[in-house]
Amino acid sequence: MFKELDPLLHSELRLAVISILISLEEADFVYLQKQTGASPGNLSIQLDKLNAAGYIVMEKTFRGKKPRTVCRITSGGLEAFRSYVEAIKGYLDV
Amino acid sequence: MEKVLNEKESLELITRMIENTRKGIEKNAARPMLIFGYVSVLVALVVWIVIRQTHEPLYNFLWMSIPVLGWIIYGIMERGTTRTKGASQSHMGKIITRIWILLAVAMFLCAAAAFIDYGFPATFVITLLVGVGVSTTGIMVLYKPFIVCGLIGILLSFTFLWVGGINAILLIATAFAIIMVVPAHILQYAANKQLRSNV
Repeated sequence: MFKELDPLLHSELRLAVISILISLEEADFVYLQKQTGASPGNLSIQLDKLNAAGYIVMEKTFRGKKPRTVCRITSGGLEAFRSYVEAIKGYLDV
Repeated sequence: MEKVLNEKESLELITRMIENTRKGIEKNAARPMLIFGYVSVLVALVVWIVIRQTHEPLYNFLWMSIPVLGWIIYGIMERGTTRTKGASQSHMGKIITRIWILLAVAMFLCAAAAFIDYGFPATFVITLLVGVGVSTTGIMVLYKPFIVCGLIGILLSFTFLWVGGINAILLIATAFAIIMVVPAHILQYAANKQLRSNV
């Protein structure tokens, strides 16, 4: 029996963001945008969804006069990612 | 617009993102090494030239400009990168930074001790500490050129127990080029090549 894939992670941009954040302690919005190649609007929407699900936390700060959003993965996000990878492996028989 | 992936694409995306992030971490490890390596080589050459011309040992105070110049250049470059490419902090990067801060404090104390007591083998201890730092960084990011060049630095440091005077300054410049500049360039080249191929 195949495990159901987490619909929140089974989307290109959200999965890319989570895959980046598992290797890092934190990353800001510009870094995630450059790494994923996403538009600011789309990235912002997807980050809000991950934040609402408790997979990441977003901290809004200022660098000089410019606003800055820093993202970190949560333990819930790590667990969801682990389950997602396990499920994918099941599908692919890896 | 959300793009839903199939299972194979998902796994490929995860692998690509993790690999790119890892290469970014490696590339970030090279930058401070390049900056402080070049600054150390440059300052060593300047100290060698002015002491050779003037025979004035007070010019040894120029060594203290290494951390000052290094941090200023590093700060300027980091600010530029953050503006254009954003900022990230890895767990590994944080630990490496802390190790280097600790080593920098130890090196500063050694330099200070050498100004108080001329007999203190500061060049030996400082080169030894840099060698240990580079090797440790290499072990942490699993990068062999750092480990090897750091070990060469550790071995080279012992020559300062026998080589003294103005010639030791040229040896310092050579040692820093081997320990820091060479492996950092190798790493940066490899990381850039890998990142280009993953685009």
